[in-house]
Amino acid sequence: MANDPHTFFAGQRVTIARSWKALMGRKPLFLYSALFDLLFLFLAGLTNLVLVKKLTGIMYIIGGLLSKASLDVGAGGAPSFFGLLSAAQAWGVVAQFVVLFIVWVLGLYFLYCLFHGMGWRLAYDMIGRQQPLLPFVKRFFRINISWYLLFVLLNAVLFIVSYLTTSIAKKTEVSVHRLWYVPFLLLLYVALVSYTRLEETRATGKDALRLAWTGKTRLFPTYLLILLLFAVIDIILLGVSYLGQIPLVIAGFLLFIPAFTVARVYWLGWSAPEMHKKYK
Amino acid sequence: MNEPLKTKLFIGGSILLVVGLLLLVLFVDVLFPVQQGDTSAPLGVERGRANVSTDVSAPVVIVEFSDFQCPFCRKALPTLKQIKAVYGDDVAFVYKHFPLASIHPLAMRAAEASECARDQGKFWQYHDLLFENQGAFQDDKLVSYAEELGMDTRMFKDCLASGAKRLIIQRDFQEGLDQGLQGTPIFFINGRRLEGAQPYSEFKRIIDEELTKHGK
Repeated sequence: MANDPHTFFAGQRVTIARSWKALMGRKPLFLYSALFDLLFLFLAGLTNLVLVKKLTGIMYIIGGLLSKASLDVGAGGAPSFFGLLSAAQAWGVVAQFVVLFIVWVLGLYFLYCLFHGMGWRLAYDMIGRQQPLLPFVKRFFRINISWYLLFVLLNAVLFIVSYLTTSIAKKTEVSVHRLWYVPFLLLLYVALVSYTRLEETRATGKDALRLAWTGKTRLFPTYLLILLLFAVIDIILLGVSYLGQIPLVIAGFLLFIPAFTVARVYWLGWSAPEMHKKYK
Repeated sequence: MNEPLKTKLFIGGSILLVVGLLLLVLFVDVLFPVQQGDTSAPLGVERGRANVSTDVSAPVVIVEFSDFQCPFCRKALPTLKQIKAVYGDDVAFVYKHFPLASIHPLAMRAAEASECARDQGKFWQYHDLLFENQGAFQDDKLVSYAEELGMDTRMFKDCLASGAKRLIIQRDFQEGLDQGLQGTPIFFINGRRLEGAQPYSEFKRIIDEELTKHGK
């Protein structure tokens, strides 16, 4: 039945109507959810902006110290990387880098789980399936450990690839192929599937992976529709950007922030377990 | 512990963590004070230095921090030659060594060799040859380039073996660090920074602005 386009589109119509009703019927929750998303974007954006700049600066300083140590050591032999670090007296800087890197990675994980966890809990509320706060957020933190580790790993691979294929002339060289973003989108898909199972006390990533695969004909097209929603918003914002910075910021707030809540409610409405049964 | 208290603790703890993270981000430079180089330090453009192509009293001086093993420095070379052909003596070039020895292990040796070539008045010709033969920087190759340019190879070999030129390169490198350099090539056109192997039009725009300032 899932492959039947007629059933699929009929189901989509019902879900969209229900989602709209859920959003409009609980406007304060909609507002809180949007506020959490706004806070997340602000805090995560600020954290990223400041810490990435600082980390990059430290990385270049380490590179400079290593190069200088290589010059000082000269042609007398090729010392090991750790030998060079000692010669460069760079251990203090390396320690700072490591500490800041850990703060950056854990900080973003915490912000994501806290604010998005609240957002998903409110989305459950909006579709009439209220969840107790603490156990729900705990489950959200737990289920995201694997996804976040995978996300960090993918970013590390992407960083290495881009590092090996670009240089200081990066302004004129595009090196990372767009296909590299496919694994990120697949990871997001599996993570979104796992968020539909947060009512279960023992929700695991493995279950989510299984459901993401077995339910792909039902779930994946809907996921693509959500991506389409964000792509459309992106295109609109691109158009608005020609009008100036202020219209862009206003349009960004009005379109982008509520879109997260809309997408969550719609996704939950479509993917929640009894909906599976209903449309099976 | 009862559920409402746990929830209150969770909310309080979360707020504390968010505020803590925010404070750390806002005061990161105070908490992690790493020297990033004094970018306000003036660039040294020594009059009479042999790796200056023309007189540094020219209205526009381009100081390049470069590495003989860096592919993007090589990529920038035709643009620099075009500038020289178009602007002639209005633009002087200064080459400063910034060998990224941790990723380009042969760059330091090539830089030393170029300074040995300077002693025989052949810095720029040798500079061009090094970029033409980028990466082939073993000692015998470096000597063969000197021979190709008609230099006294015995003198060149002695100079290279002595390691006497290392100090010049270390001084240039330190100057680059003081400018906060993060890679190569980096250009300073009358002190205005331009990063990477930029197209001719980018150089032209800045050079023309600088020449206008000098009434040219």
